[in-house]
Amino acid sequence: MLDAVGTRVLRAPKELVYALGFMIEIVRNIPAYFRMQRRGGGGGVLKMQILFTGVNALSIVAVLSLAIGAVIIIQGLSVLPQLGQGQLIYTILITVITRELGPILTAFIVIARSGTAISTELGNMVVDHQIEAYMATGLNPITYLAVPRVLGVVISLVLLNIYFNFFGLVGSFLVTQLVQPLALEEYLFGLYGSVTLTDFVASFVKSIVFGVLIGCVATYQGLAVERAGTEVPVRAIKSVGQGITLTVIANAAITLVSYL
Amino acid sequence: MGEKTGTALSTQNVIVAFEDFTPVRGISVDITPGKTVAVMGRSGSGKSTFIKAAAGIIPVTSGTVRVFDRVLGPLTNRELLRLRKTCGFVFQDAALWQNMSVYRNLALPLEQHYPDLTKSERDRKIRNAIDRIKFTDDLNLRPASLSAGEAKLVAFARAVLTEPELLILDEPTTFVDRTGVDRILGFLRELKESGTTLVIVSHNATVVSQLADEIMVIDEGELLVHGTPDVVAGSDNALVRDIVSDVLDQAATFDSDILTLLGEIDNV
Repeated sequence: MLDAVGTRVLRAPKELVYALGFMIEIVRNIPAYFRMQRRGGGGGVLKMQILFTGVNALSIVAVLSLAIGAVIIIQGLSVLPQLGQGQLIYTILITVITRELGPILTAFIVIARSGTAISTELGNMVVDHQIEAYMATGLNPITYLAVPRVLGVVISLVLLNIYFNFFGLVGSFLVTQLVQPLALEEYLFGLYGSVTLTDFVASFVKSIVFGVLIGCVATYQGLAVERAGTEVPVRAIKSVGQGITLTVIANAAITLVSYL
Repeated sequence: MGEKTGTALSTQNVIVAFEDFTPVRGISVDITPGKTVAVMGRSGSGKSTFIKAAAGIIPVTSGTVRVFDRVLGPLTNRELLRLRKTCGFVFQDAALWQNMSVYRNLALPLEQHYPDLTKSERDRKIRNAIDRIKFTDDLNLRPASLSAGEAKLVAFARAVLTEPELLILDEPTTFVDRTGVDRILGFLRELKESGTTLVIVSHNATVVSQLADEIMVIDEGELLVHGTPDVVAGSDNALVRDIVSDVLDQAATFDSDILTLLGEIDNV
């Protein structure tokens, strides 16, 4: 019992070092990926990743952002004027939608949909020796498989965040009209007056950082499968758990830094 | 870079150890260019792990592997690419890329190793390869639509498309029907005659008897004997004789090749 606990405790830092090394390896292989793409290879993987992670998630992101944006507007317009702070609705919208919920909710959606899919796909490829077949053919699996998936997740997250903001801020305005009519000009002017460059930068940086973390964790866990098919779901679950944990920690850190 | 050794494949005291077991325990072997070497051993004896380590597909824990005098170690992408053009590998379970069509499975290695080829030149090479293995199905099929035997033939074509000087094969005839085995044997014979070095893990009596210039017998991760079929047949080591008989006997069950096999065992 104690032996097993000790082994697990000792394994954790070792795995962390491997994971960091893996992340560095991915970054190091980005130029090699683009060189390969110029030769005509590997572009399909990136496009497919953006399709699965970004395009196919548009509908769920739209529904989520519309609903959340509408709820914030309705609640804000009901409560804030009673406190004489009606104008704060725009600041709250920008803070909640652009700086916080946009990046983190899209990240959660991507973890749930694509993080698990990437880990499972790569894990099955390990079990079927397809990864070894890439190596036997002279293709570095990091360059050919991991880099485009990580880039695909990053690009998709940035685009999904923009999409979330669009629906959360503009689309939700339309929903609000059904409940509490508000002049479009007044609404847009209010938003414009409340938004700062820091809001955009913080949101953008979060999307990129979350994308890198989710992509690296998912590909690492997938490629960490050793031999058995039974390892695949275990690694997929780890991919979700670690993805959420790292995203939440990174979100807190970036928010903290943005207010310094 | 290593010193010139004049070998196609050379391993010095290669050990491969995983967390919970050590499948390869200090194998040293030199394989001369142009030779065909059959690797034999019981299931789980470490044959597949050894040939994967020899091909640089899995890292060695200690020891040295040289492929045409180049020491395998941490390689850059460019070095890896150059090595792979020289050394092909056929996996026991074909290991075709499931997310691509058969055509893409064959085109990808060519794109990597011959980036300057035009599409028509690439298609011609692919057509030649699949004609040689007599693959007649649609190239746009996904590997999942192929039988295990057909997948093996496609994997074989993929490995030889880049015309490697050293071809390592892990059970090339497993899952393949009699006709398929004949095609593969014919193709291997052509490669042997053209001077390609072949390292073949096989339980198939026909493959061993018709192609092997040398035989390696491995047991529990150790090399028991390496030499010509006569040397192996004349080995004093009872374990070697047991393994060769066992392996060929086991093959008989799968290959329905009892009569041929009995002759082989008698010769051994």
